[in-house]
Amino acid sequence: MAEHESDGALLERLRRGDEAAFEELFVRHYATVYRVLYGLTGRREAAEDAAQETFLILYQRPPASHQPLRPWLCRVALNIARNALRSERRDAARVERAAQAPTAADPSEAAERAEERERVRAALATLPQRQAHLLILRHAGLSYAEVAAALDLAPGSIGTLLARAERAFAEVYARHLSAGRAEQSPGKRVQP
Amino acid sequence: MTGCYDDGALRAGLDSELSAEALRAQQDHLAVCPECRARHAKLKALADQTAALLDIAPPNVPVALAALRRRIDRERLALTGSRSFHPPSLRRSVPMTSTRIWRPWMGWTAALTVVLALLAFPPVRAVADQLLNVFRVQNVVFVPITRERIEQLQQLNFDKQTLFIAPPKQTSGSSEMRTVASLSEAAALVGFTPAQPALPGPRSSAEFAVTDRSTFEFQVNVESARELLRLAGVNDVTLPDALGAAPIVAEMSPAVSARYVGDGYEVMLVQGVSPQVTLPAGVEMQQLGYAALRMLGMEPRQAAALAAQIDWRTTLVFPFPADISSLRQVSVGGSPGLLVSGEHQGERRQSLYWQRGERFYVLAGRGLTVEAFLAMAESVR
Repeated sequence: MAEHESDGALLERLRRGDEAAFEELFVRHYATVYRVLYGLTGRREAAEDAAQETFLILYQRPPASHQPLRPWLCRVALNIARNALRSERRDAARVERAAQAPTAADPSEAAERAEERERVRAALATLPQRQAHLLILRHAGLSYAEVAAALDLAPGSIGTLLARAERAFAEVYARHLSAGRAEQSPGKRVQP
Repeated sequence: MTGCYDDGALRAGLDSELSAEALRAQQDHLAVCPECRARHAKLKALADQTAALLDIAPPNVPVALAALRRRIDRERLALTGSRSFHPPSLRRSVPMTSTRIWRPWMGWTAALTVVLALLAFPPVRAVADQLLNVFRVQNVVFVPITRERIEQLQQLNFDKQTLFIAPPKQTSGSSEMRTVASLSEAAALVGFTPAQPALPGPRSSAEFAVTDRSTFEFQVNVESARELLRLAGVNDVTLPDALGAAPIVAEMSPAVSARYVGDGYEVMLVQGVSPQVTLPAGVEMQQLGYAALRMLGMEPRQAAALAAQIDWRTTLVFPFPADISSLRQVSVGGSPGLLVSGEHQGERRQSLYWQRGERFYVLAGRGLTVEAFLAMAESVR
């Protein structure tokens, strides 16, 4: 069986211009970066665009080989998403697309999923930024050490912060859920 | 119950982010503590709910990779094979050189120039320009340098004045530029016919000057150079005593400078022949080059491979800060060159360095678009 080459070794090869090393790193980490960005943006297209930017930066300016790569990629991704969201807020029209692109076969199920995604995004946006980032990074698969490195937190504090963030997330999500239900109640729907 | 766990430890236990021993102890405790068990169950429910809500369909990785590849190729094409998007530029030797009037400390060999240049690094952007302006070399090798390494080097507790036993001095010729009336007069003095650019508009004035042949010498304090390497964490290089045993000699060839001013623009073209550098006997340039690459933060094996490929006598190692966006490689009449562009007090400025044969060219302009500037560089014949 082929030996699993470390990120550091691949980064070293990438720095020497080895394209295959870049592809290996891309395949290895794309899904994680995409998940982080999807968590932040709530949209497939936006997550793909920002993930592409993130890996373009890796390609053009790879970090030092001793630097843990996933936290580095996530920091780059968080910055890109932050800038993208900022410019997007100026462009209100694009927000309209937030709940689009249903993928399920059943349209009502798709609409439901889109609503849930929007609620998740809205709930995350309500949380303090650090809590939201912590949840997104951890649930994208980063280890506690990697989350700590990406967000400049003490590794020993991640368990506590995560427990707190999940509780806060559950609370705000429940609020968004009940607010959504109130809006969709029949009495409200028939209002002219 | 004693020995209860807080939420953080229980949450870390759920993710198995504890040592095997700590995890076992926690599980033993949970087996006998209903209170912790209840909190543990609640934390698990919250974690599961969060995971379910944040779960998404996996991306299509091959499609994403193909899309990025297309983008990289497209951008590479748009820059007409100019700026490299990845480290291979590192091994690509780009014939080019630089100019401006010789300054006292310029007479430095290619490798050790880097050492000095790095010490004079802040601000990085300015140095990028300055570096290219002060050396005349035949080749440049771009070596990426990270911010972290730049900062480390800036923070070295080292007095660069101590690097020289004998500071650089001019031993023959003149470093001053002499004004001449025309290009033909310049040609008679320097021994070659200077090329001219096609100007972007009618010119209101033109000035010409020549720099004579001249020789500079300086002598290195080897102990100090060794100390510098040690401070920079480069411990696998021993600089030979011979490096400081005799002066390093740099012979500068004549150069011609022409300045044209017109409506809304100003350009300056400097052209000449690259200098020759002579090292003390017994000094291997390759070894100095290796030291310089290690200074830049390159790993030993990579530095050794690159050092062996380069003709250090005629090559400038150009530390390419990873985040400089105003620098890019461009093509000038088929030859690669380096374009430095930016704005100064609201005015566009560019400098371009390239080499054709043994001749080097430096074109600097203000008030022009990058396209017009590059078109003018193409016209230099």
